[in-house]
Order: sequence, then structure tokens, then C-alpha cells
Amino acid sequence: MSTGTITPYRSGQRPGRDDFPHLLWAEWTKFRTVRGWVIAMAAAAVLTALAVVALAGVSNGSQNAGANPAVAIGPGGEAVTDNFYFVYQSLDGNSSITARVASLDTELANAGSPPPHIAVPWAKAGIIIKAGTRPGSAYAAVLATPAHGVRMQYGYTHDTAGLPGAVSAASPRWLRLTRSGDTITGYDSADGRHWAKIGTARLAGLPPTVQAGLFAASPPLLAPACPPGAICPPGSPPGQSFASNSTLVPYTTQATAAFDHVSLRGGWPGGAWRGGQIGFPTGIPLLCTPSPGHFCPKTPAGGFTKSGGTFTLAGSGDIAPYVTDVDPLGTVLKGSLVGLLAVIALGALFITTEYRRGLIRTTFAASPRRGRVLAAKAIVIGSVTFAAGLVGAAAALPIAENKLHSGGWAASVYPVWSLTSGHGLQIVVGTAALLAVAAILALSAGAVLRRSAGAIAAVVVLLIVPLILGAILPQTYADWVLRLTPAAAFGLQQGTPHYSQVTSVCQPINGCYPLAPWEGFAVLSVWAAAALGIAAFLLRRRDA
Amino acid sequence: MEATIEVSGLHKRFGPTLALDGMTFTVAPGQVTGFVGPNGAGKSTTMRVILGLDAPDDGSALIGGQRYQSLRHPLSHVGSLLDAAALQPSRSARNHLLWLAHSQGLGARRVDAVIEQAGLEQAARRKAGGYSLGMRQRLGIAAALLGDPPVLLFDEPFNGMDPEGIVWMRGFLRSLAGEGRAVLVSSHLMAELQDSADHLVVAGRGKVIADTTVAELIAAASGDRVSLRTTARQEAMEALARAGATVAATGRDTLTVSGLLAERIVAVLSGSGVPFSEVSAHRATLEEAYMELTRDVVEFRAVSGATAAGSSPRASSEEVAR
Repeated sequence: MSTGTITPYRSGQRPGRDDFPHLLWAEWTKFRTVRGWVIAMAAAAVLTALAVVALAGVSNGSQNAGANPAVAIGPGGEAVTDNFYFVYQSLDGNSSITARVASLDTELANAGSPPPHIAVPWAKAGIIIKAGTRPGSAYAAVLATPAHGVRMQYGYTHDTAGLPGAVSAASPRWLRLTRSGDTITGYDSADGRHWAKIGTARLAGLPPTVQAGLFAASPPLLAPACPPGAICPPGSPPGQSFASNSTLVPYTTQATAAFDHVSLRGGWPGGAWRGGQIGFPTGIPLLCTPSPGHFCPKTPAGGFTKSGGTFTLAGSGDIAPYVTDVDPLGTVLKGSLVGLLAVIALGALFITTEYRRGLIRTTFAASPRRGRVLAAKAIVIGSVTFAAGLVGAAAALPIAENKLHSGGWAASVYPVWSLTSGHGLQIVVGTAALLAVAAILALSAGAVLRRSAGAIAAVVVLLIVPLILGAILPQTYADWVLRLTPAAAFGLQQGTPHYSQVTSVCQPINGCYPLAPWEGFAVLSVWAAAALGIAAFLLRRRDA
Repeated sequence: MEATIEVSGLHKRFGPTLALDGMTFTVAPGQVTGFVGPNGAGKSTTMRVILGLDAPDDGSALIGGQRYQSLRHPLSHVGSLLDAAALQPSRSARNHLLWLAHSQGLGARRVDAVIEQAGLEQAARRKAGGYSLGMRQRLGIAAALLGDPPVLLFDEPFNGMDPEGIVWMRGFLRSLAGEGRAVLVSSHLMAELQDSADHLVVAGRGKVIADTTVAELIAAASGDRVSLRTTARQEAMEALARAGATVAATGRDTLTVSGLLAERIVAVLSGSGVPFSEVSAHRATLEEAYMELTRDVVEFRAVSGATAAGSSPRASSEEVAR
């Protein structure tokens, strides 16, 4: 049927110009039209929620930290540590207090005579304005520390840095707090003449008469316990001489600080200075074994002396948010591993089924720019997984918290987090983001390996095995595993927040990870980005 | 854009196997070009290279002068059916076409149009996993037509089709070419293309061994042979042999004679008093012509079949010896 003249055919279809939105559209259509995938994704969300709630239901909190007498309840109903030695007077209305910290030294309590010096980075000595002497009442303070310079702290969680450097006779620190209504402003100075503002605290509902003065506190030092049967000489600092992977124990420490140039301005009734311990000092006195003739005091001897214009305070404890050693919420959130396994499988299958069926050729014939196809797939599977994770985590969190409280965990120490702000938002968005990026990592592994089983196994090895290793390896190795592998992102599921200004036991088993939550997430994201890059490179290089 | 496919000097090696060894041909618009050759001749590899799926070691394949990879919405330039089984079994046929349409910025209306064109209206919402091979071929055709392209490539579209489907497919291919499109259809069975292809590219061992029209190929294969029907087969053979012809018995009363023109044969037989009832110039079938052409490559394959990795020579040595 050869004819002489042929009119070449012209396509009647005129597609739009920009093709990336079309790719996204196509990949979304691919995902939603396989009913099994949609069901599996919904199941991932539901199973995540169910597993978290089920774990919360069996969590026993009868020995929880809410029963600890050292835990006070802060202005917002939250658990706080509020233990320190206070030298104070009443203060009326708008006024100010100024003092110079001339020295600050720290030691292990009850460790012998003379007590050996030991570094306590977050020991505190400074001036404070406090709503009252009840532990947990509102306050604002400016203080010196041995290792973190001058700080202004208030409301238990707020911490702002002032002048850097340690206090010594050669470089004392001048501190000032001024009150104006509800507002307290903190200043510091190296010479008492040139002052710098550190920050401002608004303490809502501060009564007209408050207690103000000098304070000293020193938080417990975390060190390995002296193992049973071992000889730990009295006075030797905990640490190197002990087994390195034994349990960390909080040893009681004490700060001794000298203040001078104390001056008061404004509404000071002019009473005498009073000294007293606020709250209970925490920690375990070092190596004190009761024996005939040897008495172990329950608390270190806080106190003060005044000689001329110089006050010398000794105090133990801390003014800080209460950070628990256990993390029941973080533990039950591990129920999301069920959903994680499902989304890893879905992420891999989203491309490996195309290889298995030969469909990848249809895909690449329709869209020859393969890197963009991979990007579209990653965006689609990532978004769908994020949405599913968000729903699952948001549904599970309030129910799980409720069940934990029914199980005996104190609401003051393990609070119900808001889903729309702060720590609760971090948990919900973090869990969703963790699942989404894990799905993208699995997609990339699927594109590289072209096999479902291999890709799923590879991602499980990268993401879940380090979690197990982190729980069983000695701390040093566990920390590195959880810093370098994608499992670092599980820090997003930390149920109890950790604060840089509070030294606490940080182990994965307690829901604490060596990297900050979003840093850990960045590690996972870097892994996923690298895997996507390798996948895109191989897709372009290899025959389809 | 010119509706042509230009394949020139393609070379491709898969490990020890040389799949393409200088494959060169052109597919013109307005006709069906059959792409034939035994399995392993390089037909599918050539099609994958044309579609930018496999990268050639050397040479080029251009669609209307452009590389496939440079086409922005390629399905409106080239439609293809490589593997009818390449489907997600749990996705319905209509949804399969829908994602493909979306990737080109096309909508559901176009999908319904090609479903009708391929005759799949009744089954379109069923899962593709339950489709027969023939229905999958129709779905593949529908997918190829989505972008209404001027160039079409079909790899073994007759596979698995029932006789009715084969007749439909032949007519369909002809009508596509009749609209001015360039249509390239591969097959390892010549008979399927007998009544639908205008032009033939015969491939063997990774290169083109014939690039010709169907009529020319048959004429070349027919040679100068003459068919003869006679009741006295023995006498006829002896008489013609004496006259210098080569004679072969093809049946109880039929002979094929070569080396003598038909008039001379009539004269010889009449002179010797041998009765005969029918003398006709022999016309080879396309199948015979194809067998003749590919005999060498198939024989080579049969001998070296053990070393040709991954090949399954369907044309076995038995078929060739026959």
C-alpha cells in the first residue's frame, strides 16, 4: 500500500509545558490506584497508634519520680527541682539588688576533710528574686557558674547567657536584678561600673512582697557507681577509677561561694538577713557507709556566715526543670516501629514493583528524565507517609499519656503535652517526619537495589538495628552508633525533654539520644539525601 | 517534527553477547514497517534504544531528528508497546492509562477515548492482573495511542492474540499508517506481517540483513522455479534432468523445477510425450522468503546456541533442516 505522497501525521494532543507537576500527578495517581498500598498506609497509621496506646496501657508507673520528695511543682503545674541554700530578706514593690560574687568553689559532699575539689559545671551562686520560699514558686535569678559563665535564669526552663568565664579572685562577677512590676531585668558587670543587660523576665502574678537575696546550689554529679566489692578509696573522685560502663549515679555536691558589695535599693523593709534551705538537696553522698561511730548525714550542711560585708554560702541542689531518668512516653512511642516497618516496605515497593513487572520501562518511556521521576516519587511517598504519621501520632499521643497517668505516672513529671506547640508538637511532627524520611530512604534503596527484599532489609539494618545496638552496647559505642546512623532521628520521640543546663542520665533506654532531636533528624535526612543522590545517578547510568 | 525513525550504526554489548552490531534502518511515515528476525536478532534491544531506555555503546537512534531523551512530553511524539505484561496487576486498566496520561499532562477524557479505540470499554475498570494476554496487548495499544503520536513502535503485538484479534490488529496497524503515521512492528513470525506490512527490515545477529518491500522480498525468494503437476512423475524428472534442469519432487504428483524457463519445460515434456496438467511459475510465501534469508544466521545460532548466553533459539536446527 505504498502511496506516492504522504502527509506526515501530527499529534492532536497538546500537553502543557511544565512537566514536573505532571510527574507528581502521575506518581500520586500510581499510589492511590493500588488499593493495597492505600490500605497498608492507613494501616501503618492505625497500627502505630494502637501499638503506642497498647504499650502505654501496660506501662507501670507505681515507682515513678512523682513520689520523689525532691520534686516540686512549678508555677505552670510542671515538675521542677527547687533546692538551694537561700540568704534572703523581704522586698516590697519596685527595687533592686546588687552583689559581687568573689569566689565559687565546688566539692563532693561528705567526702572527707578537707573535701576534695571536683568540677560541677552547672553549680550556681548568685542573686535571686522569688515569689516566696515555697519550693516551686516563681523566680528570676542572675548567677555565676564554674563552666558556663554568668546566666540569667527564670521560670525554671529559661536560660540566657551573660558574661563568659569562671569566677575567680582576679575576675569577680557583679550581678544585678531590678524589679519593675511583673518585670525583672538582669544585668552583669566585670567591674561594678560598666553594666550589661542580660535579659528580662515577666513573672505574671508576682506578689507585691517577694523574697530576695543570695543563693548557692550545686546539682548532683553523675558518675559511675563504685561497683559492689570494689575498693573505692574515700575522697577519690568518681569517674576514671571506676568501671566505665557501670550505672551512673548522682553524687551529692556542694558549692561554696563568697559574696561582697551586697547592696539593696528601693522597698527593702530593712530587716535582718535570714538563711535557710529551700527544698531537699538531691543525690547520694559519696561513699558514706553507716558504721558504728560514723554517721552519714542525710543532707549536706548548707549554711552561711557573714563577716563584715562578706557573705559565705554553702549550698547543694539545683533550680531547674525536673528531668527524669526514665522516659515512659518515649518508650511507648517505640510502638511506632510497627508503622515504620510498614512505611519502609511501602517506600521500597513504590519502585521495586515497577522493576519486578517491567513497568519501570513504561515510566521512563513516558518521562525520560529519570532523576525527576525519582524526585516525584520521593515527594509523593514522603508526603503520604508524613500525613499518615501525623494522624497516627496525633491520635495516639493524648490517649497514651492518659493511660500512662492511669498506670501511676505522675502528671506533674510526665505531663500531657499540647499537640500544637512545644514538646508535643515536636513528638507528633517528629514522628511523622521520621516515618516520611524513612520511606524516602527505602524508596532510594529500592531504586538502587531493584529488589524489594534487599531494599527493605537494608533500611531495617540501617534504621532499626542501631536502635537495638544502642541499647546493648557500652555507652561510648552506643553513642557513636546513635550519632552516625539514621537511628539518630529517634531522638525526636524523646518523651521527656532534656535541657542543656541540666545534667541528666542520657541513655537511649531512657529515651535520650546523644544528638539533639532535630540534629538527629538531620543525620537521617543526610542519609536519605545521599541515598537519593546515588539512586538518581544509577538510574541515569543504567539501562532501564 | 518529521514522523520518522532513523536508526544508524547501533552497537550494544551485554557482557559476552553482542546484541547490536551496526543496526541501521529508517522507518518512513505512512506505512507499516515490519521488523522481523529470529529471537535474539536484536529487535527488542533496538526498540529500547529508540525509546531511550537502553544506552547504545555506539550509534544513534533519532525520532524526527531528535533524541528520545530530549522530548518533553514524549508520548505525543512516540507511542510504544514493549511488553504487554508490564502492568501492576492490582491496578485497573483505566487507572493504568490514567497515571500515564497524567504524566503527559493529559486528562481522563483522553483515557476514555483510547479505551474505546482499543475496544476495551467492557473491561477497563477491571484489575489488569486478570487480563488475558490478548487484552493486555489491547491495553498496551491504548497506552501507545494516549498522546496521539505520529510514530508508533510495537514489539510483538500479535503475541497471545486470538485469530479475531490478529485480524483486528492487522487492520488497525494499516489504518494507523493510513493516517500518515510511521508504524514499526516487530515479530518473529513472518506470517503475522504478511498482509499488514508494506516494508520489511529483516534483522539477524544484531544487524539488518534485508531492508526491502514485501513484494521485492517474495520475488527474490521465488527465483526462477516452476511448479509442475504430472501423473508421470518419474518420466518427467528424467526428461527434465536430461534437458539440464534441477528437479525436486514436492508431492505425489508435483515437482519443482529450476534452471529452465516455463516455455522450455513445456517443450521438453511435450517432445518426450510425458503427460502434464499444470505448469506455473512458483511463488514463494513470505515465510519461505524469510526462512531463506535468515537460514545462515539461524544455522549459526543453532551451532553456537550453547555459547550464546540468554538466547532461546526458537528457530531450532530441526526447523532449518526441513
